[in-house]
Amino acid sequence: MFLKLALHSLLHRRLAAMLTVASIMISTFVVLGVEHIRQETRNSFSKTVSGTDLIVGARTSQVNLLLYSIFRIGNASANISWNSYQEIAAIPGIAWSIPLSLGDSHRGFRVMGTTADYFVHFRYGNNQSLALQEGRLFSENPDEYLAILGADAAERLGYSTDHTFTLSHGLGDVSFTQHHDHPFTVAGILSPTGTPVDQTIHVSLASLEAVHHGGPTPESITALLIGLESRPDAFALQREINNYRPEALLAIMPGVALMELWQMLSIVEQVLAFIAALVLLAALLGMTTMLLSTLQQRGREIAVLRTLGASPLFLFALIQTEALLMTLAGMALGIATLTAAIIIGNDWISSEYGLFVTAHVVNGHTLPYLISAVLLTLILACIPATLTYRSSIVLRL
Amino acid sequence: MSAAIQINKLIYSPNARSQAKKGLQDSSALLQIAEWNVDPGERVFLYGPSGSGKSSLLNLICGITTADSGEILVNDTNISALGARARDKFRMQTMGVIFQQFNLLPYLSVADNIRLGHFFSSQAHSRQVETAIEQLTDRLRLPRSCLHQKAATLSMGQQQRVAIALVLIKSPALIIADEPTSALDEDTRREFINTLIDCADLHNSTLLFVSHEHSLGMHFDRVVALDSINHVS
Repeated sequence: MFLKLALHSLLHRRLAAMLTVASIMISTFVVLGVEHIRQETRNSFSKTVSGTDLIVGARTSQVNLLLYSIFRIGNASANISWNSYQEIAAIPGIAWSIPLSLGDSHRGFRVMGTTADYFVHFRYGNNQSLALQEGRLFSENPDEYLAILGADAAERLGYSTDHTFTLSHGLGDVSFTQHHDHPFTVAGILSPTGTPVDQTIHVSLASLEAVHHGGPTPESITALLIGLESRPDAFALQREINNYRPEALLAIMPGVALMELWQMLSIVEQVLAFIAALVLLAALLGMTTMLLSTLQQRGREIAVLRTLGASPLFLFALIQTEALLMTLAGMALGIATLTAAIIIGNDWISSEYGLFVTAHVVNGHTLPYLISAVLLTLILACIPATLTYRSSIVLRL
Repeated sequence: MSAAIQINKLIYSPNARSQAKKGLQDSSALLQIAEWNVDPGERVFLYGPSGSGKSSLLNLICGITTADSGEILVNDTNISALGARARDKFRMQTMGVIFQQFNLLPYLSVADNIRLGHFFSSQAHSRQVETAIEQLTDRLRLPRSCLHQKAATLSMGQQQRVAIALVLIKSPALIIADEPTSALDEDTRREFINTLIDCADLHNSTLLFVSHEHSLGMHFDRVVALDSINHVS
């Protein structure tokens, strides 16, 4: 009977209640959206590269090198000469090195020239290696124009093995320079990784160079990934590469560069979280105002309940329950809307930003926000709830 | 046998508290009743002109307001001596009050309104409540189909009968009716009073009916003019 009373009372004032629920829904959407995407960005970034000790590129900022080489965000300001790559790769203590060449694309998907070693040594997530879900890897033969597609790229382009396509010069969705004379054939498709690898079209460095300059040996590359025989040597090698005289290079440790990125973003994150919290607080204050303003209209209703025998505690609990029902409804709708938005927009987010956001918006990171919202509701609703049981019966009947 | 209502040396000034807060003395008492009793099972009609203090007296008997001095005993309990919560509980357990505007919750169905009367009563756990609701609606000649309608959609006459059902569902020892017929035409008014008295008889409840219309007194055991017991100087 108690819940029925609270529910029917809200339905009786459905317009005001619906607007309040809508404002809580929007604020839940914003708060959870900001927190969830923040966490998912961190998760997505931190699992994108694993087992790589150093990343080397032309001198720029640590973050810029990390973003364009691993996350395919932004562009390199300059390249590394092939000679420099060969000298660095020959430094004792380096277990493996993988050259990367970026700059071409196909229908919005980035094309990366690399060697077969990439599929042997590159690791993501918890030291997982890349795996083929169908087809085979390419060889180093420059006459073989073969491509390995990331899982998302294959799915969204609708390509399967043996499909042929041409590369575009540059990174835009539309390019005026097409390499029509050198069509590539899909040799294999990688299993999904949940990293920017899924959005990448991999071709051999030799064939990419043949497309651009007609020869198998490149003049320059965009970046290189290095794995060391002994990880503690990373600091010494980093210093050595950063002091490399023939060319201005930068060697970064992925973990350190990620830390720098988080530090740069932390202020923005805090501001966003603060604004989101203010939006939620404003919505809950709006709900309190709504409850307070309707107290005047429902004076008779309260007086009737008191005459029938409703205790002050019952009335207090009734108002609290109404507030809680509105908050829970708003939160449920906010969660549902955010989940739907992520499911619908996931392809766009992953293709534009290389982020893979899961739709599980209620998790250990967002739960404290939801619990705080419920507690705040109960605290703020104390104001109308207290005023309700203090209201006089005599004046209302 | 002790009285259903017993009033001794009652003095009530509506503005006394607000005046006292301002440090002033209020000498304009609305009610000053030396002694007045209602016997158990008696049907009493109390009348008086508008503004004479009828509703104030009922509020005092119900424990909704408290007197400046004196005592009001309902079924031997001095309601003036009880705290606010205890008065609420006592009213819920002992009395049923019908107001002029019937005081139904418009957004609940008729059945839920009646259930609400039972919900707060001491017999809230009774399993026979649904049967009791059906018996009451039959007795009050309310169609069963009404039970699922919203209270606000009923006619005035039907709303009144629901208001009686809301009170009778908890079988109160004392039924207090505060001008419940003022908005009704003569036929509906007579029918309402007869139904109320029949139901009070059935439940062996004491009935105190207040109105400014003297003519309604013929339906009751005793007719009392408020002026005859209220000795405001």
